[in-house]
Amino acid sequence: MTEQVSAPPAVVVEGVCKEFMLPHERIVTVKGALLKALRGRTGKERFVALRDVSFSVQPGDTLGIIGTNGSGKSTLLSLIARIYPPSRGRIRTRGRVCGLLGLGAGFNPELSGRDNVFLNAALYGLTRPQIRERYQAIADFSELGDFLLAPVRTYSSGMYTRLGFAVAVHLSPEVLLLDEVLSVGDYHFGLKCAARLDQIRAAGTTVVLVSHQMAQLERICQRAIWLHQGQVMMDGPSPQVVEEYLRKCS
Amino acid sequence: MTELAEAWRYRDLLFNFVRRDLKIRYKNSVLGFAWSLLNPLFQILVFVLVFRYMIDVGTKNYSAKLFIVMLPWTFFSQALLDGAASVAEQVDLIKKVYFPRLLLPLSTLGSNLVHFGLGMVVLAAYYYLRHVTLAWPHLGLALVGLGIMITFLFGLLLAVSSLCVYYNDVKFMLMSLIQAWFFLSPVLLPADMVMRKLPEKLPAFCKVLYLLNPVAPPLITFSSLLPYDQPGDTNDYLVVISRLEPHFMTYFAISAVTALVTLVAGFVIFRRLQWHFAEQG
Repeated sequence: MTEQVSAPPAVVVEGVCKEFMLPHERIVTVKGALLKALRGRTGKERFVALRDVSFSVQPGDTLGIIGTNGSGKSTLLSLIARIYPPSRGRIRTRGRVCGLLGLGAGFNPELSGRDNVFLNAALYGLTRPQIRERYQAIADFSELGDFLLAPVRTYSSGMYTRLGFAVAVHLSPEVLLLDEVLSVGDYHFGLKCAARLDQIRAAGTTVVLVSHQMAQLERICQRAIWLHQGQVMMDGPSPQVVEEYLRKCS
Repeated sequence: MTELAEAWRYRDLLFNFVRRDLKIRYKNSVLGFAWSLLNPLFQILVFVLVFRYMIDVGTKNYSAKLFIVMLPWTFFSQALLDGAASVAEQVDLIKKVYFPRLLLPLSTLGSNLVHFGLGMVVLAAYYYLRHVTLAWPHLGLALVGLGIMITFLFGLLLAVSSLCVYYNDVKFMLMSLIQAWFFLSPVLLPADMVMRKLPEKLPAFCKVLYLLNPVAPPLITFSSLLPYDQPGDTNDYLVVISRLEPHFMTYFAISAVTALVTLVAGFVIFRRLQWHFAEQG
């Protein structure tokens, strides 16, 4: 409360709930919808992914989110990235938000690596001049050389993630959301990515990170949130939160 | 309105989407982009072959007349079919990245517009080689007609592409609808012919319905670019049409209003549905 922070938070999550209809309840056809309406809404199953989650992140901070599979971590990142709206509550962000919820979003196998860099970066809201300006840095970072002119369908999965990550770390948003995308590529590339992420954080980017690698998370994040069945179990300095999480899990 | 401002900020993405569509269409083909010109060229050859040598439709230069309405119709129907799936087939992408969803149907419109433009180039070359003199004074009206068609088309695309995410049936309905629409519009059957014939067999309101079809008046303005070469005292197609329907320009205005209403309605539907695209499938 007495924090001497003049800037408003970069991310504010207020009383957020998210409910999904279970996929097998999905209505695919008009006939299905009519039958459903006639029968009355029988057997509709709601799945609550997040219940009453609140927190805020100050600009330049790095927040880690931990929890078991299905605890709502990815849902939370998707909500902040505006992929879908919360069922209740409010989310506010300041500046450009880039959600890396999977590398190489929108990569088209038929297009060349170069074309895909332009397409992928444009998806994250970069303008053409901005991309042109960064293209060389992206190409160098990917270490793909002449392969950038070949269609992406000829790439190995390692090359694919390299290219995806190379674009991702050159987007320079105000808020960066990372969903377990750090553990990609070979050892050498992994080190390079970690170094680049340190640079990005040093430049003042706000980072929200979902990870299962506790050592890495403790190194990068000052603060962590532990989610369990869609609820915040603990919110505090990452060493304590990680310790508590590991104790409860074992 | 914030949607529109945001879509404008992402205009480079629109450019990238259109480029992708165009590149993908001719992947693994030797002639590549040339197909955009060759396809309409072959279409002309087939029309000429059929309507000059194989069947007598009782109209001179029928193939030339057919082509000038066939091109905008093909653009309209193809864009509608492509656009219907434009959002549904990108749900995986929608789940990963936020970008203005509006750009998906808009990019289908864009890439189809490019093909339409290339087709028009082929058409112009064909008319030039055959020494067809165009009724240039009607060009302005035909361009307004094209504007009406594009407005109407985009309104439909917004509605259809967002509904398709929830109900796949929409696409199949559309396929049947487009087929019927083709025969009820002045494409294969020239408008003057239909408007003469209709009142003979059907009550008067059928002619009203025929002209209330939002694509009919624009297509007629396209036809008016060619001189009317049947026996009579005029070579102006619009004069012929106006004699058959004195209020033709009123119908033209109605189609413009319908197009605008469709655009607004499509936008409202899209806006309502777009937030939940990522929760489907």
